[in-house]
Amino acid sequence: MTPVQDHKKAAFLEQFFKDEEVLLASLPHLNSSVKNALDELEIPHRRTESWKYTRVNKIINKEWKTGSSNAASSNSLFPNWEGSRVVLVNGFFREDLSTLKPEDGLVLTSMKDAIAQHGELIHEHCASLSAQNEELFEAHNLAFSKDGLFLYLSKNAVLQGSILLENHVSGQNISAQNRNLIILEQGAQLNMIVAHYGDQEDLIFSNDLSEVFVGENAQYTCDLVQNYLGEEQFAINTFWANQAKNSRFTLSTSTLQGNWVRNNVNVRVSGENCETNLYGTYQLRNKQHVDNHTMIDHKVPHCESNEHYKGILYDQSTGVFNGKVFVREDAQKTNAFQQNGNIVMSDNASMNSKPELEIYADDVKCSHGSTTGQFDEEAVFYLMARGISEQNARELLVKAFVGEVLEEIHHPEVKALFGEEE
Amino acid sequence: MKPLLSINNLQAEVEGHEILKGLNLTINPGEVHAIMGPNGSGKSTLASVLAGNEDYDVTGGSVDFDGIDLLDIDASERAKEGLFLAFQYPVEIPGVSNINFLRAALKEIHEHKEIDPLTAKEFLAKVKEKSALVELDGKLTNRSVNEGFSGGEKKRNEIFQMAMLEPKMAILDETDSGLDIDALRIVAQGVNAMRSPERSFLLITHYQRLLDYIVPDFVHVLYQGQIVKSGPKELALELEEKGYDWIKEEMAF
Repeated sequence: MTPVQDHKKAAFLEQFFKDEEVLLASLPHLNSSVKNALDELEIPHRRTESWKYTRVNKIINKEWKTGSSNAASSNSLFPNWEGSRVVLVNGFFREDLSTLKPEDGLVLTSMKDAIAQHGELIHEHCASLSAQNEELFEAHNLAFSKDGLFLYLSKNAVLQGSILLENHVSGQNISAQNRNLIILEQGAQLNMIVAHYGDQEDLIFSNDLSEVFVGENAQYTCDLVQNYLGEEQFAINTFWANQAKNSRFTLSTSTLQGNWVRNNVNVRVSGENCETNLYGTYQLRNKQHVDNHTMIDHKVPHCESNEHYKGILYDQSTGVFNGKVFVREDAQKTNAFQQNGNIVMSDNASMNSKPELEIYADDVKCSHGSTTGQFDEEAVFYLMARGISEQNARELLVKAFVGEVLEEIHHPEVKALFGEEE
Repeated sequence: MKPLLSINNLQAEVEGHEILKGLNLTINPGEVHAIMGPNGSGKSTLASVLAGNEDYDVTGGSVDFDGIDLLDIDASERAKEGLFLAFQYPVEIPGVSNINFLRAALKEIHEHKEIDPLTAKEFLAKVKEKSALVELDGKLTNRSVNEGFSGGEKKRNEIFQMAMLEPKMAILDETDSGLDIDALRIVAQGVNAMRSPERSFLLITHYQRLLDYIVPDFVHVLYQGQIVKSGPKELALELEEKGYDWIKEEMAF
């Protein structure tokens, strides 16, 4: 690291050290390693492979402070949601805004309370998947997180409804480091929607991390929705999941709006006969930048993974897709499918797509592919020749292109955000 | 009788190459015209230009369609006015179902004509009736437009769409090319069922065989971007027998 970078990093981190009420204060076993990581890790730069196309300078160079837990949080994409709703504002758990429906086998609380009440579970799981020793922003999240959601489902607990987790970060120069821990014991089943919001006028940095433990024969389904409306908004969203045998993990990521978004989805498939599904869609306008980085690590035989990301880039937007699938030596009979498709609508938009497969086993079925192209003008003409106006024809084709991924979204409430009728 | 379509001195080029060099053609309501001609004579260009494909530049002439300046409006508006093109190479559109796309098209056409939209029930009844006309499998009507269709299925799908949209004038661009005799018979049956005193057809074809099944009122020969000979249906037989060389020779004199 150059002295300049060193200085920049120190200045960036110093603002956060002022905060005392961090979760880490109650997690002494992690304390020293996180502090070390913050010291050692570089600010990601152009030559950092996993950050090659996404610049973090704007985050590093800005001033950040903790927002008020009482900040307004009126903006919701799901105003009519009737199930359990959990609301986090500026990194704080807002019990008053949350509506929790008690269900058998469900423990749902703030991370802060969980550390006090479920110390053993926290000790065993928290930061055991995440990469705080390799990734500066993961260390940053762990070091400075003040709260988050703790969700535990006991053996064979199947929730009746889905849980909606809404994250608001609001104010000027406000940063929040939500940290969530979700544990599904054997046979448990959980569906959730995780929504992130940024209001138009706000300047925010959201660095959010979730660890999800999917137990044996358990099923976890999550639709992630990002709606950062402002221009000066930076969001890093990280998922770390571990799957025990016979389990299923399904995550869809819909970036509705986001001027600077980095998504990391990492899944360790540790048990046999697992299914892993990752889907993503983005439609970027103006100067929006969205980077989807995924990693699926097949360590054992007889597992299946499907990955499908599709996006449309307008104006001067830029997109990144980097999907890594490891098939380890022991992971025979793995079925891994990965696909990224993009339509670039403007001469000034660009997409960097990198599907990666690393296969060490010899009896597997894996495919990956990436297509980036322009709009099919022949199809536009064909539709127009049947009486459909040019604008409607283009809309129909855009919808059809991302439709394959939209179909995979679990919750109709999320599909509805795309104007899907069915 | 007022003509439905009159093409006057139409000139068009693609990527700087002049293809249509002053083409004249008049089609009255209810008439079936066939245009034949050797490869490269401009047959498909004519179809594309009439349908409003912007890859072609119209450099001169005019086209009047039922009192409207056709060249002044885009492809979608032409379709709304009642012009239909059955494509030589129907486009595959993954993710857009045949049914939904036809529903969207009919909705726009009805809005344009200021008539009530079909109810869901009426629409489905119409789909059933018209797909039976060309023996198109119900499963195909629900699939993505032309995706995974065989060549014959694609052509039958074109005729099915024509039957759904009920145009005033249909242009069939080599709809018969590559069809086996059964498929050709089905396509012809669909077209014949739609013949009426108000509706006209322009058949663009290489082969006289089609005209055994869809009997035209007039046959034209297109050569080097112009119609060089017109006659009754027997002209097609003569062309089939003698090829185009005698016409080229006639022209040379």
